[in-house]
Amino acid sequence: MTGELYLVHHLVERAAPAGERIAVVDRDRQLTYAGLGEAVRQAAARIRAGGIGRGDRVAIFLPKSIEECVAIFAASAAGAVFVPVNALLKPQQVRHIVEDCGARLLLTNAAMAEGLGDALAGLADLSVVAMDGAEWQRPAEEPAPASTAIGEDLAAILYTSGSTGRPKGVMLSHRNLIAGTRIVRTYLGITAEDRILSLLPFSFDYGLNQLLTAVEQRARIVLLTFQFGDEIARAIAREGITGIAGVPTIWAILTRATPSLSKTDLSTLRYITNSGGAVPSETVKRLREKLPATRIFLMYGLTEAFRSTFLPPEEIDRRPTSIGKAIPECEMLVVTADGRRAAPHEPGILVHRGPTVSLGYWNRPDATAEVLRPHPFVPATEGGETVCYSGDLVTMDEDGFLYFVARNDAMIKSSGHRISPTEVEECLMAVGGFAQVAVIGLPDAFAGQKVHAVGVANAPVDAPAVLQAVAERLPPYMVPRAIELVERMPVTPNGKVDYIGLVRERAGDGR
Amino acid sequence: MLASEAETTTGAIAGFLRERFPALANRELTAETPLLGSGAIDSLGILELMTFLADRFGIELTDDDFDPANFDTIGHLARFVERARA
Repeated sequence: MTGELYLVHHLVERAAPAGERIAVVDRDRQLTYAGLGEAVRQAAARIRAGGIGRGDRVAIFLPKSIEECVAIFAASAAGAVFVPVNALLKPQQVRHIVEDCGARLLLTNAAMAEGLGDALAGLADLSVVAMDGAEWQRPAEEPAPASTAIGEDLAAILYTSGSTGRPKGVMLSHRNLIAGTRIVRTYLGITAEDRILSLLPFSFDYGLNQLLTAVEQRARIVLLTFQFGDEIARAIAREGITGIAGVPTIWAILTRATPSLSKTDLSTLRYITNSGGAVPSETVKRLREKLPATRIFLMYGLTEAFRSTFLPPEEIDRRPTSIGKAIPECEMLVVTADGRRAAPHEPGILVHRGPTVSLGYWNRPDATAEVLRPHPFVPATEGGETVCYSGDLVTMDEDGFLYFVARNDAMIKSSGHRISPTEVEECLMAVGGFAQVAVIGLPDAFAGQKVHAVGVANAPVDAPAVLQAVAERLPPYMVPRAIELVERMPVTPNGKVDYIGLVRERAGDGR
Repeated sequence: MLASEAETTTGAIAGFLRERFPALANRELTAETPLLGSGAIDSLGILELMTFLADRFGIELTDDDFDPANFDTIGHLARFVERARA
């Protein structure tokens, strides 16, 4: 076994000496590192036997499961690019991703394949394979040859939403993912003794990173799909969980709607991390009370640069609203609209430098050019590299700590999900009755933002019926809480819908 | 427990669900309506439902009487609320 580490599946190969240690726990099933290694080799061989090779996209549409973990590493071992698809997505959303990235293989299971119906009809190059089917279970005849990819090759495409349009695929190289693994493991101090609770989808870079850091350290990852906070509390106690990554909604559930938490032995819980939005200070206070011995890492990141900042736990009392400082190996710049380095406390766009800057959006050169730009202060002729413009307005204090101010566009963030207004608007328009629709995010105590629709009707609109139809086409977090009818849509001087004005007029109504 | 009390509780829960989950607003919500399997209510929705129960009925959800099975249907939830208030 080699000690090489520049491709994602090298993480599994390097863990081979850990043989009998448990790698993944999935309810009442578990897999050792030896078992994971073997399952990945078998799956890679089957992927290769299906004619998939270097650079081909392999979409993965599975519930959080051992199979999903295996599929991710196996795609890498086959030289392919893995594209995890959130299991909550509706059939047409899955089709968008599979079609957009030109996937040649979709790994799923029989039940989820059936749920897709004929949504994938007409995608001629695509094979759909159920990992619980008899054909997949048959041992492969010959092992997959070693991947010829190098670290600069594409490893994964993670679909995420922006301020406009359908979800875009963020391209991450093997080097991006390995760097993200190394950096996050370092500052969280993850070791082989950790037992990491995975609640977030692997289609989300933050959730994926938990899997990669766990395997890199030969630690244990415990998978959990939950509806009730009590399921999380039980998992902590049963599995001796030492670390959890969550979004603000998860902390609200744990501190407000998890009666058993106060009776749960939480002494193993070494750290928790938050990303995907700011945790309200009231929730931070409750977490401190319920988890006095647990280190709380407040973090900030965007898929386009994987992970950007974290606030050291010892700073949380002094700077509870800060998103912290740059993660190891990276630098954050605050750049004003006119291209200057912002003065202390002066708002500017957060610009990320470092080895986790992604390769941009799959097949979207214009959108990529907006986000990936030359270093703002050092020309390429003097060594300036490509950096990532986050689109988030921040300030920096005299000590170098960063503070989130606002999003510089109309993107909505609810319960950690990035939601493009366009995707919800298209769905509302398709359902009918509107001349025009604008979807905005309004403040919400638990979700950060809630989705709100403002529409101009051109026919009688039965709001409940419309929302019911929308709920069949979009997952719950994207369904507007309400439809508000207006006579005319406010526009900006250059004739576009005034999203900022729409929010400003209504933000006072938020809870 | 009087039948009318349970009906009132069921009605209050159904009213909250209609208000919070517009996708349910047009559906007939009865005591038998399943809550968890409907796909309309995610973990955030359950948090909000539990917050509503605490605010509206003043019940403390303690470990001993908490069981996700109480959330199977609106009727089960209403009976749970009645028991917790008793």
